[in-house]
Amino acid sequence: MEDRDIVALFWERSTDAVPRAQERYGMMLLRLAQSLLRIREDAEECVNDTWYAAWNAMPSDRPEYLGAYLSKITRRLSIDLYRKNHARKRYGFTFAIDELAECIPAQEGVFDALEQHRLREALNRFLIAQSSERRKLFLLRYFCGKTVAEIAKETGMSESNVKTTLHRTRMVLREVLEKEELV
Amino acid sequence: MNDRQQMQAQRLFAALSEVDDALLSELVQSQIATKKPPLLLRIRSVSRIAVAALLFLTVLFGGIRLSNLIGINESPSPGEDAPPVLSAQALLLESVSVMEAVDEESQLDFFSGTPMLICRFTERGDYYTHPLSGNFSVLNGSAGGAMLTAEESKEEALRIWVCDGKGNVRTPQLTPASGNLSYGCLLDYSPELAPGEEVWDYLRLQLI
Repeated sequence: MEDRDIVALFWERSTDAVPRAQERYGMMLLRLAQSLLRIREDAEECVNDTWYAAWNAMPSDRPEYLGAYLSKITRRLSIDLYRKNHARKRYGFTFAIDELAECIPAQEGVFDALEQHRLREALNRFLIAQSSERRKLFLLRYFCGKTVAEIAKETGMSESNVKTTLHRTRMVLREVLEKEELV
Repeated sequence: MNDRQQMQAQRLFAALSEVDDALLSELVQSQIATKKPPLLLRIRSVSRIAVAALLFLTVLFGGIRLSNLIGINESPSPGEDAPPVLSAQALLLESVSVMEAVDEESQLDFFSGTPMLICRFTERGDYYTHPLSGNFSVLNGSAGGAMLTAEESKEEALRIWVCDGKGNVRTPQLTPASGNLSYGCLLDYSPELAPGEEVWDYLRLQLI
């Protein structure tokens, strides 16, 4: 079943939507969450939450690339879960800080949102400018959270080659971010 | 790294969740493609398995012969008093040459439409698959298997799963319950049951 057919099922609120999406992307999302979190149970929780989030977001979203769309949801949920679990392990005043954060004026939020938008655009331009191989390595490492050894195994490159390519790509990103005054 | 750098790195890492779908789709396609291992790797896997099987058989028959020669008859011969798990291991180990070797879980096709047996020898880490025919419902549960003690369960060197070809995965080494059923992936587990003779009889017919 193609992406657009699965998206159509979500829009029709069909009970087949999630099983069909799960069939096509379930394993890939589980691997993504597991790469990021390294704990199977947490990864499974994130993937389950992904189906729930996708069900709530479609409609109104109509993603052209369903796999990428779901990957981004899983990644966001994985990062949220990671932060939540790490916050729990920190000190008691973490919760006090979280509550005080609500008192920070909305102006700050708007500023953050604008900065976030600029950062996203800069990242898009940077990724487009990279070769397909460099982009893949960069995303495997920093989007999927895979280790250098895992990337080397997956791509058939040597670990030192992966490290060197990633280092060069990071330097290019640094230049882009400095030029756009985002760091 | 100072606090400011760390915060900005976290922001950058989080912002990657917002990049264009089109840029990610190429990566996603490469991640969902079920690749067969390269031919060289497959040849290597098969030769590794053949050597391991040969060594196993040499040690097994050599040991039996030696014990006969020196007159030790106390140890049970395989298939008589040996625990079922051992004979299961021997059966599957001898059958690896007719099974397909798969390096990683991600390369298993759970939706092929064909029911299949999946097994893994814990020490080796790679997987072996074999298509199943006939009524494989006997594999969907304990089928007369005995409960393993915690100690026996820890020592388990073999794990087996059955996939119905539609994504549903069960193992006869766990009691049939909803929590012991996975979908589109293998559920890591510690065996609780030694599958009964009925299970091994069915597998013998499938593998030999």
